[in-house]
Amino acid sequence: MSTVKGLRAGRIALVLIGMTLTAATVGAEERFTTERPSSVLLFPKVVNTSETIIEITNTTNLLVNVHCFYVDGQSFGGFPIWDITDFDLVLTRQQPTHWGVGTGRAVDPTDKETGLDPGLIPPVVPGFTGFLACIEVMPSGEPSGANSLKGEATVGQVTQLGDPANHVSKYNAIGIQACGQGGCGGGGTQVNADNVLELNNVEYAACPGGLLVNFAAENGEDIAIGPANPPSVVSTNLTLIPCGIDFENLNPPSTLLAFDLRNEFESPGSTEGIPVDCWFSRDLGDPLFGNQTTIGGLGSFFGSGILRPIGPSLPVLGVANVLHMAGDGSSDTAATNLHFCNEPAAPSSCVEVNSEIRLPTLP
Amino acid sequence: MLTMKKLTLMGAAGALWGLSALLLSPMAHGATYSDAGAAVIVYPKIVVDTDNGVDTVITVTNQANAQTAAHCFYVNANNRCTNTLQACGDSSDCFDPMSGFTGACVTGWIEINFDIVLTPNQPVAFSAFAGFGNDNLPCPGGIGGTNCGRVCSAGGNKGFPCTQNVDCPGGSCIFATNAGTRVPPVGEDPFIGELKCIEADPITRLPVECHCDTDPTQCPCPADLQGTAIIETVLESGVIDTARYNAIGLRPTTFNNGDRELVIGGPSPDPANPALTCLDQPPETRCEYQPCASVLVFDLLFDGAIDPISNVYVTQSSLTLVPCTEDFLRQRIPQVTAQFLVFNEFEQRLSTSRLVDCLLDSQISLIDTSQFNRSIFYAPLQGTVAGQARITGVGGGLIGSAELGYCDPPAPGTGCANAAYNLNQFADREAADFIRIP
Repeated sequence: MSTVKGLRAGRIALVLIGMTLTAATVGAEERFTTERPSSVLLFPKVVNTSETIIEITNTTNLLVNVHCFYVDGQSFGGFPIWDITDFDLVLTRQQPTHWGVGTGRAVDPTDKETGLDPGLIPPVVPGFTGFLACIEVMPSGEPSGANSLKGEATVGQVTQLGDPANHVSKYNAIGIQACGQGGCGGGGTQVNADNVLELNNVEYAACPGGLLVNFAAENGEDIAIGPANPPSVVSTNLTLIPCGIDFENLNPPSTLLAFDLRNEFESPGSTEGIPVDCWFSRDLGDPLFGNQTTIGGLGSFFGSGILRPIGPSLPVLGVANVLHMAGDGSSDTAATNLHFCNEPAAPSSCVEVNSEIRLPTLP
Repeated sequence: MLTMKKLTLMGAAGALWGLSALLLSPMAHGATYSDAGAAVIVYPKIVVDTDNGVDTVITVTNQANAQTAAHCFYVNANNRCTNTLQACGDSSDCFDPMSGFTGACVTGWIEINFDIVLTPNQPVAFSAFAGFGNDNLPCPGGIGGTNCGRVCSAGGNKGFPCTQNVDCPGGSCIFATNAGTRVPPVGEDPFIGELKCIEADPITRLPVECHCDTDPTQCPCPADLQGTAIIETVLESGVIDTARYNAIGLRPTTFNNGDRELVIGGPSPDPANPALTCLDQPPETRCEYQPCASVLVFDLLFDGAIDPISNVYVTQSSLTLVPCTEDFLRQRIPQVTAQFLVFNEFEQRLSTSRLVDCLLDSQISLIDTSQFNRSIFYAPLQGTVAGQARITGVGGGLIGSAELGYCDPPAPGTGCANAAYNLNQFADREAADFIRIP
């Protein structure tokens, strides 16, 4: 009898817990994020020209399987290589792991990489410039929507401490959260078993309508370094990837962007027709930005702008890596995650866009 | 009549529902933001130390197409001698030759506040050391001063861009300016502290009242601020080092009563009723901002690990935490206990706790000990390079940022190449946090 009572009480308690936890709250909705565990991680800037260290962590108490794709974003003759290398990770509960993309990580308990090896991680080729996508999956390979993963990438080179050419910068991976039943504003469902990850606020969060870029004018003075070591220069490199990937048909995604910006005097400017094919990495001084982001074109030391797609094309995701150079030539970089723009009203006009990540069909 | 089998199945179903709810509920997300506009932005670490070439460049951007203002607070968290009241690193700095006594070096808390008025979509930046005075304002206004575009002075379109008076029913079309903005230099050099900016009415310096829950024309409540801090070091040797993180933001709910007490998250008035949230509390305790995170997730490379980039130098991470609750009205030093649950790559778990007394800024291997090579954050002790620390605030929420440095072996010290980054977060705090402003 006491067992029946206990079961009944337990059932009621758990149902109450479930009801309480599913109750409407003022908490955040599932979305694209750089600070919450997610089901898909994107590292937009992965290079083997210097070194990149990838860190990925399972934030849950359950074992997690992950399927990752390196995408070589180099172009030859205007055509992206779009070489893909994929591999699997298995992370035990709460397990963090790391590897250098230039060396990869073997499954070898006797090597210098201590800790549980998460799987065989191949090195990328020398000179690799591209991105990394990691997707939480079931052991069978089907997508999983448990929002378990977080990650960071450290990009840089350390030749000798005190060397003016040491560049180390770190950014958070961009996470795409699965909606879950009733999530993403109420219309979410569980992730299904097919190979298409729908970024539509039903299965996974929809792509943000734009990116907000706060930048120092290209080749403008650094207001902290300048007085101590003049003349100083700031230069911002933007790395962007389209919000949507087709790993099944190996179609490199491409999109066209507009960049609407303001300077400190609130003067507007804009550049249209910035092409992003597969992987984009340019300084703001590049002619594609129409000289509007340089110190001469912007007319102030700081600016702010929105990168949004033109017409029906895909929005982009990305990071900025900012080079600070002093008058004597010493320099360092600092990476920053870009803010997402989700304000649909004008003038932001950042309307969320549905897209997809298409995985190779399971054999 | 319920059979044992049925009850067992129902119990299991209930358990599954409870578990799935736990895993899938929107509550399983912290609700501060470092990648979207917000109504309150927090820069946990602002550093100035000119003797060592350190300054912090702060950017603040208004992402709205209307004029707005931020009421900001520098929190000077320098430790201070009990006898001389001078800033100190430890008690050895507190010897007073006049009296011959050595005082104790204790936690300090000095707050100053100021305003930043931003025109529509305007970005501004300033050095924490130099401040932001009239000479630097992009649009100071006034006689002979530069103005930005025009905005409505009052009425329903107050603050929005206009070209003529007819665009501003109930007001007039005037030039937008930064008039009213004055950012003082930080109060001391060296300085370590926090900057917190609250989107506010430029006249009252209080958050703008918003009743989006009952008046849809007020929706959404404003969340227009975003910011970045860039910690820059210029050494005499010519080496420079930069580390950059995004300010952490609190986004609004659908209600704000515009008073001096900002209510951040909070419990439902009746936890048994799933339809109720903290927005159903009485107006004085109703949540005005989304809750702080229950757990901060800090991915790190343990101190003393061989740097995976150079394979020569050692890693040294540092962590900065500030309480989510702050009482600027009564000037009470906020205290929160930070519990650290640390996992290595073997899934092994160690834990420690540390009091966050106004602000905690520490090399991670000095969080739990004064001898870094005995710390649970020390790589040779952990046996792996990478780790995860889950940080839970007891008695209040926490907000933070982190830095990773590559430094000279064998002991962590100066001369590091640093990079800053934002922490991740998990789950909402159930209890409310508060910011009380003067």
